[in-house]
Amino acid sequence: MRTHAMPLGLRAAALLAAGVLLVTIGPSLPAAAQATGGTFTLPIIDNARMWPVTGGLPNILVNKVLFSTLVKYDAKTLAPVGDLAERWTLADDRLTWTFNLRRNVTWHDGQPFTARDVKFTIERLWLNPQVPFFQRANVGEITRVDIVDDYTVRIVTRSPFATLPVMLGYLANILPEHILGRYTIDQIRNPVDFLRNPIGTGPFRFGEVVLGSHVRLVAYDRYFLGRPKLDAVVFRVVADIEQQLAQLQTGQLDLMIIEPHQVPLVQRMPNVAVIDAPQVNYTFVGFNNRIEPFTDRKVRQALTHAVDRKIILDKIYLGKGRLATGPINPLVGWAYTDKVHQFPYNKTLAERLLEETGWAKGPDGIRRKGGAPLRIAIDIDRGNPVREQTAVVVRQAWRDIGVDAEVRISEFNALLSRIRSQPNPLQSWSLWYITPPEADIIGYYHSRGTLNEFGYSNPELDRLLEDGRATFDQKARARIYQQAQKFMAWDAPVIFLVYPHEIQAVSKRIQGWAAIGYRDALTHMVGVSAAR
Amino acid sequence: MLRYLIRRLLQTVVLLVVVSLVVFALVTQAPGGPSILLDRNMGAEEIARMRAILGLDQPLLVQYVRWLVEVLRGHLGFSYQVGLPVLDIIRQMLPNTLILSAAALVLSLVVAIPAGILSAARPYTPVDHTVTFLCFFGISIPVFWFGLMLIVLFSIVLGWLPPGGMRTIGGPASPLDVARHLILPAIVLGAANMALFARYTRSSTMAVLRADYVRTARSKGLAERAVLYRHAFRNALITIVTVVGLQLPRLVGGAAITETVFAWPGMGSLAVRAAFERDYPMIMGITLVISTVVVFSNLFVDLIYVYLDPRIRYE
Repeated sequence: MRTHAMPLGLRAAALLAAGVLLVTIGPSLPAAAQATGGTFTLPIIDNARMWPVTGGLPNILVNKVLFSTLVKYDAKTLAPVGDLAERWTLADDRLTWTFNLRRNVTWHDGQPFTARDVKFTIERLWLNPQVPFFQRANVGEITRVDIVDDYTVRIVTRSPFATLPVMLGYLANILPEHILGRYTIDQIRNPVDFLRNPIGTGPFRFGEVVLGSHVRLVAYDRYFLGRPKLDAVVFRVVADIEQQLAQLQTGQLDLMIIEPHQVPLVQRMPNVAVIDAPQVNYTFVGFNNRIEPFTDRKVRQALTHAVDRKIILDKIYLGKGRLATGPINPLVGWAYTDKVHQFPYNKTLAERLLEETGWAKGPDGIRRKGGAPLRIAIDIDRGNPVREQTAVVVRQAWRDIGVDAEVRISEFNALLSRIRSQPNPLQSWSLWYITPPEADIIGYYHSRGTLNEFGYSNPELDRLLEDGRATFDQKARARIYQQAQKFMAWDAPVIFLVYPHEIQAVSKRIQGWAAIGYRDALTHMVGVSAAR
Repeated sequence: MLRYLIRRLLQTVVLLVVVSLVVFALVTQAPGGPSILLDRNMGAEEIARMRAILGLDQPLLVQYVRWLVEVLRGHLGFSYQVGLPVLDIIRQMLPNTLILSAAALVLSLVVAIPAGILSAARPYTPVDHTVTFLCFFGISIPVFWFGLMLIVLFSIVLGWLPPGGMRTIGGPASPLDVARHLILPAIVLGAANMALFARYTRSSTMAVLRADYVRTARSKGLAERAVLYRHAFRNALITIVTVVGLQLPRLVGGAAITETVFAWPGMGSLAVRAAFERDYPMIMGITLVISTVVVFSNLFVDLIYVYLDPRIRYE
C-alpha cells in the first residue's frame, strides 16, 4: 500500500506546502555564500559547552577554535610546534621546563595574555583536585608552575616526562586568569557566566549560541597570527547523519565525517570532495587479559591469527586505512616500526596454537578444556556499521576455529561503563582509540595505566614504557618504543586491526583545509578560506 | 466547580511527584551513565572525583530528595552536557517546539476537520474512500521515512526549501526565513495527527447524524448544510476536542523523531540527546515540564466540555 500511496502523499504534501506558505518558497541559498569573507560550517551532534575543562566531542571541536594551547601540532608532520608558547627548553635536572610565551597575544576581550594565565590554568584548574579536569591523566606529572616574568613560565614535573610538550598540545586549552581568577570553586564547577560569554585567545571569538541550533564564532581581528581569512566558523547542531548528508549536499554544511559505505554517495555530490585524512588512531578487538582464556598468550595469538584483518580492511573499511601492527600509529614516524611479529590470517596455525594450549575440539565442533567450552562474547556498541560488521567477521573467524563466539550489542554508554567497571566483566570488545601524536602509550598498557581497560600487565613492557617516558634523546626513545612494539606484537594483548583514515566530506569551496584529522585541522583554521 | 478544581490540583501535585520519582528511578538505573563521566581520556580517579562533585556517589534516595528540594526552590539543576541551568535551556527550546507543534496542529485541523465532515456527509462514496485511504496512509507512514522523502524532493531535487534547522545562520532572523524552515517538519508532524483527527471527525459526525434531533432538524426542513454544521458538527466536537486535547502535551513535548530528522532545535530533540547522554538533570527537567503540561491540558479539556455541552457539570 505504501508504494502506491507515496506519490499521493508527496503530492498532498507539495500542495499543502505550496498552499500554506507559498510566498516563502524560493531558491535555497546556503547562508555562507552571503558572508563577505566566507563562513565554514560543520556539524556537532549536541550543544557544546565552551569550557575546555570538560570533555565530549562537541565541546572539544568548538574549543579548538575558540581557545589556544601552549603547543599545537604541525599541520603536516604533527610534530609539536609553538602555539601560545614560542619555544621551550629543558633544564639539566630534566624536570624543569622553561616556556617562552608569545608577547602579542590578547584575549578576546582585549586583555593581554601573560604567564599568570598559564599558572592559573595549570595549578588552579588542571591540577586542582576540586576541579574535574578530564585530561588530568596527561598532565598529572606536573607539580607546579613558576612565573619568571610576564612572558616566561617554568613548569616543573615530578619525574622526567619527555612527553610534556605533546601533552600540552592535547586538549589542554589555556583559560583567562583575569576573569576566572575571581571565581569561587562553585563558580568554577558551574561557570555559567563564562559559558554565556566565553573568552579565549583562538583565531575566532564567541559570536552567538542558539541552543539546539548552532554556535557561531567570528574572526578575531587581533589574533596573534593575523586575522583569519574566514569571517566565521559555525558549528551546527545536527545529530542525524541523513540530515547532515542533506545539509552537505545543499551547501548548509561544509564538512562532515562519513563512514566508508557512504563514500560512493558523497562522491556523486558535485560540490563535495572526499578526503582520506590520516589520524593518530587505531581500531582493535580488546581482550580482558585478567581472565581465562586470555591469560594465555598462545590463545591470544591463536585468536589473532584466526582473523583475516586484510579482509576487514578491504571490505569493511573499503581500503581506507592501513593494517595495524601495534598501538603506535605510523604518523608518529620517528617511533613507528612495522618490523614486528605479523599476524597473517592462518587458520591452521590458529587451530594448532589452541590445541597446544589444551583447547581440544569436541564432537560438536566446539573446543573444550577440562569440560568447559571455549565461549567468547564480543561486545560492541550499537549504531556504528564498521564496528558491527567487524564484530560479525571476527565472530565467524573464531567460530571457524572452534570457538563458541557471539556478538553482543549495547548502547555506547552502557558498553563503556561496563568496560570501566572494576573488575571489567567483559571478555572481548571492539572499539578504537584516538591518541596524541606520541609514542607514549603508558596510560593504556602499563600495569598501572589509568586507561588500561585490557587488564594487561607485563613487567617487561612496564619497564620499557617507563624508560620511554624518561628518555629525552629521540633516537634513544625511538629504539625503546620500537622494542615495545615488537614485544607487544608478539604478546598480542589485543588484536590491532586497522589504522583507519578519517573520511572527510569537504565542500569544494573550502580552501586551505589541513588534510589531517579534523580535530587537529581545526587548530589550523587561520589559513582556511571559503570561495563564494 | 471550585472544589472540583482544588481536588484536581492536589491530585496533580501528587501525580507529578510520583511521575518524577518513577522517571528518576528509571533513568538512574538505565545501563551506562552520564556521558560526561565516560570520556575515553578520563581515568578512574577522575571519574570518581566527578561523580562526587555531581553528587552521584550518594544513595539514590538522597539524590532524588536533593533534586526535589531544588525544584521546590525553583531550580532544576545544571545540565551535565551544556553546563547551563536546565530551566534556561528549556526556556530557550520550548518556544521553538511550540512554533513547530502549533503549525502542525493548525495544519492538521485545517485539513482534517473538513475532510472528516465531508467523509461523514457522504459515507461509502469515492470521496469517503479517498479520505479513508489517505488517513491510513498518514497514520501508517513512518515519520522518519516521510521526512527523508520530503527532504529529498523539496530540498535536494527541487532545491526549494532548506533540509533542516530553524533559520539561516548568519543572516537576519526573519519570520519568513523561519517559515521556510518550518514547512517540511510541520507537514511531517501534522500528517499523523491529520489522519487521526479526520477519522475521529468522521466517526463522531456520523454518529451524531444518526441521532433523533438531527432527524428532527431535517424533518423541520433545515438545509443539509445547516444540519451538518449547526447541529451535527457542534456535538461531534466533544470527541474531537478530547482527541486534540490528548495531543496537546505534544505541543510542549515536541516530536522527537521529526525534530531529530529536521534538526529542529526543540524539546523533542533535546530530550533525545539528554537520554543518549544520560544528562539526568535535563531528563528530569523535561519530564517535569511535560508532565505538568499533560496534567493541565487534561484539566483544560475537561473544563472545555462544560462550554461545549451545557449538560456536563462538575461537583
